[in-house]
Amino acid sequence: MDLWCRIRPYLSTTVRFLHVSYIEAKNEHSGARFGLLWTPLSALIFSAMLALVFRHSDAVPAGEYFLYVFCGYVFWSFVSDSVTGSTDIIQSRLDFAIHNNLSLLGLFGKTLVDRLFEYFMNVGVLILLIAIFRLHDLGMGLLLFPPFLLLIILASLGGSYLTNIVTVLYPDMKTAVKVGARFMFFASPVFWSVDTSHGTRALLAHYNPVAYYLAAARQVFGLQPLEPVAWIVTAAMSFLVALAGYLAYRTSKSFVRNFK
Amino acid sequence: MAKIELENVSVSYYLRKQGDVSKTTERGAVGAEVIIGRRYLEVAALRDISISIQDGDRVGLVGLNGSGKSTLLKLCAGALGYQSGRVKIEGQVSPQFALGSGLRPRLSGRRNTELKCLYMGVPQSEILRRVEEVKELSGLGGYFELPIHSYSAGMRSRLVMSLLRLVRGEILIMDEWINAVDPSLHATVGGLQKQLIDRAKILILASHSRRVLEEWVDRLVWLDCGKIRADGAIGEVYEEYQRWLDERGGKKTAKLAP
Repeated sequence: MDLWCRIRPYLSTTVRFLHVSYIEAKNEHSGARFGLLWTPLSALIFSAMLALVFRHSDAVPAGEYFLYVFCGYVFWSFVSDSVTGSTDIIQSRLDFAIHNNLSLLGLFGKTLVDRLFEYFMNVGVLILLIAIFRLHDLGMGLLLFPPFLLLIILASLGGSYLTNIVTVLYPDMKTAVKVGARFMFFASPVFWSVDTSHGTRALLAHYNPVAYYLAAARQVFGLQPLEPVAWIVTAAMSFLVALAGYLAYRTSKSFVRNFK
Repeated sequence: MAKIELENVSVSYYLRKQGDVSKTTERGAVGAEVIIGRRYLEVAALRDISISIQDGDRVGLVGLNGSGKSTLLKLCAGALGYQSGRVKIEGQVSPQFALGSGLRPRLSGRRNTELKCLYMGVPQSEILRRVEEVKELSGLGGYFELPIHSYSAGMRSRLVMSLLRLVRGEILIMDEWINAVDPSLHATVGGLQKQLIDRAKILILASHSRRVLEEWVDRLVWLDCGKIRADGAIGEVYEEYQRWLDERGGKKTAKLAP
């Protein structure tokens, strides 16, 4: 009961922010026939194209490969939004936030919920597709979704603040971050799979932390066998990024709002 | 209970150095001191400010451009950090730095009101009622359903005032925008503004207009180059400020005379 009382305000704020995200996202697509559906539709179309072009082995059925790519792309979009969408949060949205009773931290919480809203929409479609085409894949792995969510929330929040503070201090990083994100898209197993134990792909999958997140995301939905290493690395990275973000916030909160 | 207490607070803005910055330290007729740091230019917007504002206070801020009025308002609203001193703010702050800040221009008055309710923590079950309340209060009629970028300045004022009343901030912070509204519209939004200010526990209003200040505040803080020059009853402080302005104007004219 005590725990419930403690977490209830946070849950209530999250639901409230999700409602705000819904209204704002709906507005972005106002006038379009498919409206909000464009979010999962565009992810579906892009993933289908990637799966079609980059399926490198006939041993993997096309449908299965599409789900593999779609799951990866949905998570990649969340990662990409967390990084590229955070280069100017303080500079461009703090004024709006202050007028709406949000603190600096609240603003980052709100942008996190915006990203989660889009991610949930895509995940909903992903689960639906898996349920239709590969129901047997959906199983106990789904129980890992809440801890996975917690880990990506920590990483996203910390990463978002770090990205923003770095671009505030070094404006050149804004472009560098965008170029870096594009590079990481190709360097991460979003649309290619690690089917060998050597070569460039194996190297990238081994040293690129995003690869472990992608593996964990696919394991949740039964699209890859469970690998504890992926979860250990994901958890370690998430806590590290969250800690770095927290320390950056502690040391910069007195002056970061005063940059012009 | 609402209050604002600032003790020896200093606030600076930071700007990235670009090109030759040696001339930036030259003092002009207005603005705070610019300090050249190792990597940044530091604008010392507020220096060693101490002020206490209690429940029921109606405080006006006067001063030349760049004297620190907006910085002080933003500090009280949490939009700026401070580099030294102590800041204690109790009560929900409701800032309005510019007409329409915090609103989405592409959304209708209704959607903006819904968003405002959500941001301000109005319970979901009450949102519909509150939205209708704002619609009625604003008197916008059918325009309430249109995007607010299609509103005139007066319509936006009506909506903003109605929204501010809805959110019921304990500490109301307003920059000079209210003076910018067409005087003919001032009468129409005046009623809403009065209700709004009457409900607030604390009002802080920055303005150059004596008329506006005398209408809404009873205490005046005169800021000059980031420091408090005078703080007291509006009549006394404004007189002093006006004398200083006249003297300053006289000196300038004398300097310019051939």
